[in-house]
Amino acid sequence: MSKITVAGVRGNVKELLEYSTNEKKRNFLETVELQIGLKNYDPQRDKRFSGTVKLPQVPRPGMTICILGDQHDIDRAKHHSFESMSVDDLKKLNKNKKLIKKLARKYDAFIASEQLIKQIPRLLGPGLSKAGKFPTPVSHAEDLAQKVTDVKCTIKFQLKKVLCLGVAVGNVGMTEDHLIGNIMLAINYLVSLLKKGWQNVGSLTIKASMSPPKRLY
Amino acid sequence: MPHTLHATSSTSLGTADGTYIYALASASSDILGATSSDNSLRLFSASTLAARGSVARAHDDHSITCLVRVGENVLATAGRDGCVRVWDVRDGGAKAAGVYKSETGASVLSLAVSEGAGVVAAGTELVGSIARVVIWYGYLFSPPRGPLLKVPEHISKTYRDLRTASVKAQYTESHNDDITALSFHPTAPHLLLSGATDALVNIYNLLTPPSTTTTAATDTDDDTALHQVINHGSSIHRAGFLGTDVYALSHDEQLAMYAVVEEVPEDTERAPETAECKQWGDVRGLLGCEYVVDVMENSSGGVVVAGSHSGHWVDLVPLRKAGAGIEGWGMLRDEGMRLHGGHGGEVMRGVWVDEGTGTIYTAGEDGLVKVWRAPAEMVEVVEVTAKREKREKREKRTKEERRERREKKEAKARFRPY
Repeated sequence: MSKITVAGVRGNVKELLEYSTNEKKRNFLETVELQIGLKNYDPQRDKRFSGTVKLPQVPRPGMTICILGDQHDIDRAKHHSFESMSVDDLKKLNKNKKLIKKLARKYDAFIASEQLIKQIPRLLGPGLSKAGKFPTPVSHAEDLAQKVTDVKCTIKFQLKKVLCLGVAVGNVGMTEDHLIGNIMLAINYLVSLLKKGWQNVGSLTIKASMSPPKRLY
Repeated sequence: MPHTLHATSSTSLGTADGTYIYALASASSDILGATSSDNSLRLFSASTLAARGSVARAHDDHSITCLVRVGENVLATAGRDGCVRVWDVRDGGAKAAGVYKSETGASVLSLAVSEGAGVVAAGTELVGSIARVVIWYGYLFSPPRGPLLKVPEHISKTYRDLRTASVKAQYTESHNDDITALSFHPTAPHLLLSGATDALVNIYNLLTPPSTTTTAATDTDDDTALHQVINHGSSIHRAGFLGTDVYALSHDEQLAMYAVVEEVPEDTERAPETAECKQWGDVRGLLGCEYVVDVMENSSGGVVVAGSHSGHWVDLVPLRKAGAGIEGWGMLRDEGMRLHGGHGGEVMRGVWVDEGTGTIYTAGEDGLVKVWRAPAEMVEVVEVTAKREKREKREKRTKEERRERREKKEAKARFRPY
């Protein structure tokens, strides 16, 4: 059913990596974005196109995560050298909005134990929700390192009023195969959510932060 | 194998070709309302499908986003003009019986009305960096009957006819994206649930007094009212209560049930004894469907409505709770019903079930309202099994639990067959 081939994507990914890692190397790690243009779709009338995709490889390795937990979780976090905070640390913020905002800005995402997550509204108010960083729950039975990787691998996408959207699927530091894996998974997942499948797809483009776009479809 | 039903009749309600019908709601025993993409609210007879009135531009030239039943003969709609309008179907929808306008005029994307409690709640689109839940307190037509929400003092001073009510509370801090779902707790109407495309489901306690003493709405009401936050992990399409538990369905069809936190625990060192959620993940694989329309509540739990536009069918899959814990929720695919033909190659958008007669009304993007009838013996079989299960359960319960259950039952609507 798929309208694009791995071989076709590979060619474009090769050119893109060649440009961004040799031809015009920048002083920062460029992000690779997948841009999708839709057609035969009306954002006012059709069902929303929005959700999350879990990619096979971490697209943004620089993402910082903070573990909010009890003693058991903090010990586990230390073991993997993740940053962590205890209930007492959170209580010290004293529901001060400025401090909570500062905390939310400091990290890209939070993970909290199931028991602690219930106390977050009381301890911190809606501050983390407002920042779009309400913690992901983790139970004692789950592998913390795996959970951190899962959170880093998960990307959100949402179509607003215009018919195109972009998702960060990787970076130019990744190998060709890893990048292709992420791109193919993201494309297939997004297309599976569209009513008319490939008939709703107008264009597919990949682009690194500073590179010219490469059209896949 | 699910039982297969065939459509017994269908109507376009007089809509032009290419119109979508979004939602259905029942206003009275014979009148149903339908909203469609031509910005109209149409009323029709449940038995004959004959037109009973219509409002051509219910929200002027703005699209209608929600349709809910308020009470007998009363429906409410919300639109992208930032208004909530209330309609009395007895005058054929000649004129809105009440209009509530949010101060900012941001599109209203979700709506919940608790007639018994006298509360209207509307959720808006994200404008700038603010998405609001706006709440009006009061009563709609006559002073409320039945179980009344005990109105906190700071509200009762201004408690009055809702038609002239102004905004009494708003929550702006708890979501950072479009608010797509709102629902009141079935037996504790002071608990309001909201879901948004930021993947969060929030539960607010409306009885919490505002943090400031001013009577005007402040932007920090949610500081104290926020009771529980659930991170569903993906943009919320539908969310609400099934019994006393919460369901959440995302736009990419991830379904999960969550327990409501009764009291916030002080002790964080102890791991919870029972599971607090049941996740099915992406249910498209599990149910073989391509999209999920909705989750509906009924007396024995809920129904997941899922469809396939390439296979031309829609399934009603019972969702029931066996046992006390949240883990007890399960989908019973074999006991479901399949609506053969569905809405053809188009997506079904709205569904309403008349539990008394076992009639199912569906609306879709093909611009049709279709009627499906469960065979009489099917309704009975479902009823009998439900009753037997109930009896067995009841025997196991202690006296106190029994009383609680009875009270809940009384508060609920009439019996629903599955």
